[in-house]
Amino acid sequence: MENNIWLDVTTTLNWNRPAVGIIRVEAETASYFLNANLPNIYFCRFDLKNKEYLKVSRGDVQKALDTIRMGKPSVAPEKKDALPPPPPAPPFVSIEQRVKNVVLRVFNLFPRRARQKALKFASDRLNGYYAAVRSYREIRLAVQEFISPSGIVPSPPIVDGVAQVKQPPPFKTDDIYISLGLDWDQKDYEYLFSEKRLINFKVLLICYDIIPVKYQHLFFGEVAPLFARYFANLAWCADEVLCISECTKRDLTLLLAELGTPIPPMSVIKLGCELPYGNSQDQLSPEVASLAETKFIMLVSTIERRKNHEILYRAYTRLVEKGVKKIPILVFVGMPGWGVSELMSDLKLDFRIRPHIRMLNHVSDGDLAWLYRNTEFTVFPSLYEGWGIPVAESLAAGKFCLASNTASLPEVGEDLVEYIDPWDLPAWAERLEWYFDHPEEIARKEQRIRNEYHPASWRDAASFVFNTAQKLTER
Amino acid sequence: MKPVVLLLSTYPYVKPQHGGQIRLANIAKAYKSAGWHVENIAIFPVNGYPKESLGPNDLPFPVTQEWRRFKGRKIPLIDDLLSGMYAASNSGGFPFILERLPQHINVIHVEQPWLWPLAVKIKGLLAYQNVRLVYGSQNIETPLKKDILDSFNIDDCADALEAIELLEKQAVQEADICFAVTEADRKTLLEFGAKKACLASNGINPWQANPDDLERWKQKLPTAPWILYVASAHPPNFTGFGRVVGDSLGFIPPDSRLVVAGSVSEHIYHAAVKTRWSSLNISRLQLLHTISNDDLAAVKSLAHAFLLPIPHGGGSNIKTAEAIYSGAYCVGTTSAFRGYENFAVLPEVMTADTPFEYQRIIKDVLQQPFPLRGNKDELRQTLSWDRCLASIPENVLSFVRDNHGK
Repeated sequence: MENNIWLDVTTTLNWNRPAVGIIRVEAETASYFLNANLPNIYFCRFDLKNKEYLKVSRGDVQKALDTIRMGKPSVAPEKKDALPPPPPAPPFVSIEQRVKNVVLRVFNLFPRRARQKALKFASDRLNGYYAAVRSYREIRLAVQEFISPSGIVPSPPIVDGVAQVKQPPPFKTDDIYISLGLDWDQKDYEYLFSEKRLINFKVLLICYDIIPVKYQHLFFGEVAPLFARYFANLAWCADEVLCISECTKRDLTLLLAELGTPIPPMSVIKLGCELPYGNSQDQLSPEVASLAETKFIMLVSTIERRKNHEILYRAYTRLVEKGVKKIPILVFVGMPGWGVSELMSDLKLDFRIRPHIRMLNHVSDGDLAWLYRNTEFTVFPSLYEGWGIPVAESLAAGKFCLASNTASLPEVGEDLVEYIDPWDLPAWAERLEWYFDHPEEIARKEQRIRNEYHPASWRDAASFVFNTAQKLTER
Repeated sequence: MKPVVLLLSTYPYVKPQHGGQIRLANIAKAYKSAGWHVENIAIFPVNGYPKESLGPNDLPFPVTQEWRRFKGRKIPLIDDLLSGMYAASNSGGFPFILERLPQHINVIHVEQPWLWPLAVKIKGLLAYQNVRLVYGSQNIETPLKKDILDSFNIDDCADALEAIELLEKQAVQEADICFAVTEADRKTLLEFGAKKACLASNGINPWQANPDDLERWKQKLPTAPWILYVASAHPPNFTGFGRVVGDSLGFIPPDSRLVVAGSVSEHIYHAAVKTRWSSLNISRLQLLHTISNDDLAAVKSLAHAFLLPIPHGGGSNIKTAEAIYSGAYCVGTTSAFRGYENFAVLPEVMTADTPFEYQRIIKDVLQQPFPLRGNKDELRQTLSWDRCLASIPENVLSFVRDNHGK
């Protein structure tokens, strides 16, 4: 009897916008698995609330992929194909998340200036808030234990333990289970491990980066302890881990050695970098269309501290103050995230820079394709990356990139990209100015990129996942 | 008439919980089994023990400032030393003790050196001038105390350590017989000037768990193999935990746990959460705190492995003897197996002296089947208290007979 390969599509089923980053990895793999006429392929999802793996029909996977491509809300899986039927209950949302949602809704009613202050006030007190939630839980537990004692002194923290199994997973011995999604949010590796011990199937997981552990300060709140637990559990569960760069592989190996977990075999997968090109006839948004008559460079990324938009802002202020003429507009493509409220405020209030920096949010595939075609070059000064898709996409679009020299980025851009220390402000200002003054050099670099760069396809990436899974069946 | 032995200690032994109490209770049992009449006086810390665990002659060491200061200074963690001064003082506990002394005493057995001044004071009384003194060493106390004080960053205590060293050597040199818990300690006592030093190892009381307790605990403990750490809140049991085992408990599989029983639980929790890996560590801990002896018997019977992270010190660890006796895997430091070196031949006994070794071995044993039963069972039987302590009344009686009238 042949072994089955199960691809977990939980993240894809829960996504209803265009696929980016991790979602794209899972969705592209699902698409390949659906359409490449591969044998013994099945799909599943994980119900976190009930701790159950459920089979998902090929039809439901296709619908979810279509939804993502169209950027519309996902439709619920067909009940008839699910084993057992998908639960009607809404997805589990923690008390922290529920309170956070309410607070954010309330803050959104405030005027913008007051909203930023309120967000800053709230985020500064996040630890206090979490402590209050923990205290509430402890008090609730204390009351429960007082009224109906369980007979054993509980541990001070809330220990999840192993969940009550309602329905065994659909996997059988020596099957391969693959999960490539937002597992720290949507999966329970402790449950996966206990099921793996019972059934003895094999597990293929992925590591995108260990930045939440390595550079916790670049995230919202104290995430390192939570992610350390996630990575430790990943190490115990996985028969093999796909790492998206040699850098990530090195980082993960060092972390697991420090945590004392087993170190599973790891292989490096090269992610696809084909742009989701829109139809060239698509209507451009007015914001993007307004760039048609001007020169611009761009940084494609969520606006957050780690991406280091700030160094570009500061470099631009230097160029402006130096009196450099004909500075291309710097376009930030991406939505604002955490930790950049002061930068956003500076960008809004700094009269020197307002004419030179533009922010584009909710950019469609068509708009993005146009931006890549028409940008002078791209910039990517990130402080740390697990891979660096924007650099790969830039090269795939035939565009030169000025990138930071950290982490995995030199793996992505090889010698087709110029690298700068992300903290070296004079160097950024100097190199930007130099390239503004030397369009012929950019043209030369673009020619070299066209000749030498071979963009990885998502099909190749998905095929790598499949081949790795197949090799696991032979172990 | 039965010979009479008076046991002096800084803890009661009516309901023994920690290692010192368990040893003392078994020493009393050994004397009784050999035909001795046993009396006991304990100078115990106020609030340290529940009422029901106290004997009729036990005396609390008061919290008054006067007795809690060493040379006018407040130095933490030396109450045992101070309680000896209190017990031997006419303005302290001595008048109370005097009222409770039996009319006739053949031997005063002082367990640990702290109450040695009291024994000397009693022997100084005309009625007890022929009493023989026995020193029961549980450890080489001075370096152990220094380690404890150092681990809590307590400075300005050199003179207290000097006093402890003098007291310990005084006990060793003045005792008619000394008993040590390990061969290494026995040699040290001889180097200190002991007239006679014998070995009386720490042992175990063979336990048999109740089937109902076993079933109940099976429901509460992980189904996957897990590792047990049983210990009291004695500082060496937790101050070096991170240094011995490492900061992360990631070496424990996700469905397993480090199960901690005893009053050390809270301290292990604090040691585990203060690291960068708090969430991971908490997910791998199951704290049972202090549980009854019946419950502990069930928990020990279900353990797949025992953790023995003793970082330093002399003496030997009763928990080590229990772990070896269980037949489960025992993973411990070289220090933890001190006194039980001859059990190293058992395949399930494993020594680790670095966090890396600890983690590697525990990772491995938690994925192995339980060790085969029946292997070297006869060797394990030698661990019982009866066999370990039989030498105490034998040697003491023989000494008393040989030196009668001297």
